[in-house]
Amino acid sequence: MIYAENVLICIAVPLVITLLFTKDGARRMSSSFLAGMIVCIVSAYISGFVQAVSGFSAEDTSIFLSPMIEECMKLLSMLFCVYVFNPSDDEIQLCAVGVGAGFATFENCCFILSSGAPLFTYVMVRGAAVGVMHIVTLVALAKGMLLLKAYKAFSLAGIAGVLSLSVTVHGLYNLLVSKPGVSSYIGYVMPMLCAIVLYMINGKTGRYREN
Amino acid sequence: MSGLVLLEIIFTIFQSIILFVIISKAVRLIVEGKNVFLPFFFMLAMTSYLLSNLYWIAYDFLKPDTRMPIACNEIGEGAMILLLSAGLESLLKDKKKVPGEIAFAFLFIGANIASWIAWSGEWLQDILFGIPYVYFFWILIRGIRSRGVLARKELWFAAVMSGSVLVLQIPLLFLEGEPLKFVTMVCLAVMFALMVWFGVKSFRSKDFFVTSMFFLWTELAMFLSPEPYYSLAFGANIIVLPMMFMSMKRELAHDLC
Repeated sequence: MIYAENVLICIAVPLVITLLFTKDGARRMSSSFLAGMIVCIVSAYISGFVQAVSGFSAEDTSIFLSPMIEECMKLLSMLFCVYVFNPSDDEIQLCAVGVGAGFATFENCCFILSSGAPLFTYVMVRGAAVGVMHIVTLVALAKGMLLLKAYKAFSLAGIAGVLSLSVTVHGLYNLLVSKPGVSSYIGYVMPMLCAIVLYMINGKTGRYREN
Repeated sequence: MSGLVLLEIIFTIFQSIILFVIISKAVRLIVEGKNVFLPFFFMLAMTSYLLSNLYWIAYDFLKPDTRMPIACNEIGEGAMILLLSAGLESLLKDKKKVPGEIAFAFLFIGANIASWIAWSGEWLQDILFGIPYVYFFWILIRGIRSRGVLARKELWFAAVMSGSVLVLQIPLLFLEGEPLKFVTMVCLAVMFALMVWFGVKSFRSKDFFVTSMFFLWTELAMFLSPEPYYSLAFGANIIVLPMMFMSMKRELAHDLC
């Protein structure tokens, strides 16, 4: 049992202070990072609530429900950013990366506090797999939103499609790592592969937007 | 794990290989091309389909012979349908909302959803994941009509044939014995005849909307068919994927977006 709210306050306070002394991109990055951590804790509350209401086991909640709840919450934070602040394309991507990194960092902090960090391999897996996965799903989401915006096709179908894709990636990852063995190794590698593919596409779509 | 499940897994693995090749080719189109919207959304749609397949295979191996409480692979298929719709929408020049088309899309997919519910009993899931199909179907009707790819007679033929498949599904719910076998055979004959017709039309016209309609019909036929006809529809579903990619590539060559 850990007190996630206390952990959040502990990590968030220095970040809030940095907001006073930074501006432009650095401030946006810190704000997004903070938002990501808050989204993470709210998602955990909702998952816990849904688990209690639905009667699902903890394992089934993590495999089937958490991906949907977490990805929806991340999308909501992105939509808030897009509709309230009307950011530029680069700022949308910055926001996605910040929220993803904040979410992954806070989740990793809580897991490490509850399970300890004596095994380097375990810590590496958490960082390189789960951590990367949250960023990958959000960057894919942001990429989709940017293209929809660029082609003036910012439709519900497009947004819902990209969200469902994120949920599927997340759900597949959670399913694969739920059992030890070969499937878990495939799961651990998956986010990094997705990150490489997205990086390749990022360059091209970035150049397109500049033109 | 039963023999049928094993056969489905083999089919799914084969389809996944085809999808992987298509995704790689779509990525190349994105990297090389000027217009990235359509190939990007096509690539995302095919990735969703691939992930849905992988989820299904992984689930069958990790939790054999158990039913998914919430089908994440259906979310993947919903994603594919929505992303394809987003891509196809960008090609629509005439987005006029014709009430007849919208009503037909609602009624036709609604009837399909009703038959899924009758089979599975999963109300919420089937309705939720059926909604993207309504939108997709409407986009396809609009695209085919506005582009004039199919003649009026052909459109009526497709509508009557697809409608009769659903009408024939109703007696299947309460018939037994020989009449059940007979109606099932008639229903399957109509369904597969329409599938072959869509296949021929897609091959001839090479239009992205017609090919996507062929794809949608193979999907619906899969949902409505028992084994071994399910595998037959699955086979057609695999064949239509490269056809869809080729027609999408053709749209880029014509620079219609």
